[in-house]
Amino acid sequence: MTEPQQTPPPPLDDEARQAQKRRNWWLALALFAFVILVGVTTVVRLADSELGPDGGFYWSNPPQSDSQPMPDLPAADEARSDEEGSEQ
Amino acid sequence: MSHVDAADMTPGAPRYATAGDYVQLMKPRIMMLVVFTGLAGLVSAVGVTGEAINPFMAAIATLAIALGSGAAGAINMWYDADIDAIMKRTSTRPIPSGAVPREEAIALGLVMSGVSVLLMWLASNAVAAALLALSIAYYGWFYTMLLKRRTPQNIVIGGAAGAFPPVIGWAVVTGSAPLDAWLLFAIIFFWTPPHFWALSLLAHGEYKKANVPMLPVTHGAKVTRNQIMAYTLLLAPLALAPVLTGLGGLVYAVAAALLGVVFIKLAVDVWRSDAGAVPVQPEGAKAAKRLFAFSILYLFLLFAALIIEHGFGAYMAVPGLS
Repeated sequence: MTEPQQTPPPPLDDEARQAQKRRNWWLALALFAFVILVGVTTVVRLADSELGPDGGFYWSNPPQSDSQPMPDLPAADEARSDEEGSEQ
Repeated sequence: MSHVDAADMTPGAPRYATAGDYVQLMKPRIMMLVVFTGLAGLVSAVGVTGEAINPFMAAIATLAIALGSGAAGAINMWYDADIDAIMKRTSTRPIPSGAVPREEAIALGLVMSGVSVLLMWLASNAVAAALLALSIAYYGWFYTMLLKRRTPQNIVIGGAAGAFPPVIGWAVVTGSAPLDAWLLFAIIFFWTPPHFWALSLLAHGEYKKANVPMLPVTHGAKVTRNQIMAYTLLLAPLALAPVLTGLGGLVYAVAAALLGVVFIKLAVDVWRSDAGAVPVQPEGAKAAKRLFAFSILYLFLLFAALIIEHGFGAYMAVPGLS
C-alpha cells in the first residue's frame, strides 16, 4: 500500500509568523510560571508541615490511637550475631 | 464593550490572535465576580471558624479558582462558537472573529482545567479541588452542552455553576462545606435568574435568531418579567439568612436589607414595564438595563460586606441574635 501524499502546509506570511512567535513566548512564560508556582507551593507546604501523629504533607499513614507501639529494633551487634547464627 | 471593534474588522482579512484574545476566551468579567465571591467564602471561613490559612496558599487557591473559571469559559466559547457567530453581541469573540481556532480554545480549556484543579489540590485539599472540578464540569459540560440549547430553565439550573466559588473558598480553609457556605451558594443561585433574564429581555431577538431557548423566546416577555419578580422576592429575604446563622453581622445585615429593597424596587419597575416587548420600548429597555447593572453591584456589595466584616475585623453581632 502506498502512503497518501501529504500536502505541505501553506507558507506563513510575516504577520502570521510574528503572531506564532508571540504565542510561543506566552506559552513558554505560562509553563515557566506553572513550574515555579508548583515548586514554591511545595516548598511552602513542606515548611508548614509537621511530621507527627496529626499528619503532615508526606505523612500519609499516621499511627492510629489504638494501634500497638512499634517494637524497639534490636541493637546492631545483636542483629549481626543473629544473622551469623542462622547462617550456620 | 467587546475587545474587538467591529468597525475595525475587514471581512475576509486574516486576524492573528493576541494575548488579549486568549484572555477574552477566559471570560475575564465573569472571572472577576467568581474570584471575588470565592474570596468572600474564603475570608468568611477564616472569620467564622477561626482556622488559619497560609496567605500564600490562599493566594494560590484564589488563582486556581480564577483559572478554573477561565477554563470553563474557554470550553463554553469552544462549544458555543456557532451561536456566538450568529448573535451580534458575541460575534466579535475570539473564535467567531477568526482570531483563535476552535481547537486551540478547547485545548486551552482542558489544559487549564487540569492545571487549576491540580494547583487547588496542592495548595489546599482534596475537597476544594473536587468542588472546583465539579464546578468546571457543571458549567463546561452540563450547562453549556446539555442545558443551554434544550430548556428555558437553562440559566436557573445552570446558575449553580456560578454559585460554587464561595463554597470552594470555604472548603479551601476548612476542608468541608457547612451550611453557611451553602447559604452563600443559594444567594448566588437565586440571584442568577433575575440577573440573566434582565439581560435576555434586552437581547431576546438575538437568542431567537440563534435558536437558544431563553425564557423570553419560549414563553414571552411577560412570563419572564413575572419570573424575575418571583426570584427577586425569594432572593431578598434569603440574602438575610446569613444573619440568622451568625455568618453575617450588623454591616452585612444593613447592606443586605438596603440592597434587597433597591433590588425589589428595580424588579417591580421591570415587572410593570413592557421590557422585552417587540418592537423595543425605550422605557422598558431602560428598566431592564437598570436592573441588570444593579444586580452586578448587588452581588458585589453583598459579598464585600462579608469581606469587610471577616477580613477587616468589622464584625458586630446583630443585637438579639447573638
